[in-house]
Amino acid sequence: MIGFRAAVIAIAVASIVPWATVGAAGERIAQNWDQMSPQERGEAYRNYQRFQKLPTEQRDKVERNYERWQQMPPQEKERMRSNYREFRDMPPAQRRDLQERYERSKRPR
Amino acid sequence: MSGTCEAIGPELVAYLDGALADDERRPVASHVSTCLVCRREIERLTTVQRWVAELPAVEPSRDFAATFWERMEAEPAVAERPGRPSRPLRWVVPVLAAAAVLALALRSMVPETATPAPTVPAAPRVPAVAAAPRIERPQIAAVPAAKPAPAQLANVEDLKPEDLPPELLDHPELFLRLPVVRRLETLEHIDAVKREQQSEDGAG
Repeated sequence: MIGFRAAVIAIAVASIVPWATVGAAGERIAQNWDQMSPQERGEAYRNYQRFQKLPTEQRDKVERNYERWQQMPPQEKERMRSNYREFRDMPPAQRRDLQERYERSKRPR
Repeated sequence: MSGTCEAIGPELVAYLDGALADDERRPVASHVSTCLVCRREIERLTTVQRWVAELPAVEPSRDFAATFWERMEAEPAVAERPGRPSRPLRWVVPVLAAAAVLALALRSMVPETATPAPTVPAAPRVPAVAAAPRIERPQIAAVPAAKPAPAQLANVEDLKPEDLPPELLDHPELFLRLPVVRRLETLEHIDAVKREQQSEDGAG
């Protein structure tokens, strides 16, 4: 019963609070340009320029991923960002190994 | 994809074909000028149209008409065989309809500059095809190009919103999180792969 109440309260709060602007860790997740800090704007702009240089198939993949990203709840987005930070900070050999393992796991057995 | 994209999506082909009325075209153009997803869809559709336009025109053989009518003439004789009920040319209507649709489709796909196919001798007995109205190839609306990026970005804050690419303003989260979104597939499975890696390391 308590769990049910907690869920109801969580839904009610989520419908009032602009959930998309607050991450699981409590930090702000900017979704609008106006909400972004100057640093975020600079980063977004640099990434935009990188995106423009990507080959078409990679841009298509990014767009497909972005559709999934938009469907993700904030906690899941935060998990992805945390995974990315971990992935980015890995030694290159470990990153390669992880990538290869993932590619192997995708292949039909 | 936003609700607007879903509403606009079915209109994109008509928009590209210039088949929308002004009051229908304006909201589509306005949306496309700011929506990255719809603009990419327009790019894809334009590419397909270009590929189709580059297809060689189908040229019927010189004796196509004669052979066709010979077969038509032969058909009643077959239908009047003794013991077989008289059968009207039931296949003629669908065949002619299919030919008319194909002719119209080819006409709309082949660019005006393409070499016209040799004219098939007019067949007066096929009014549906011969009298088919000529469909002008629609003018493809130009996709508004993204604004060129400033050569050197000193400070994004110095740029006015109208100087920024519409995609950036419309999907800032995508570009802010691009490194994550790019590797989303891998990142979604990183935990499982890591567990596998650790269990192998533990077993070893």
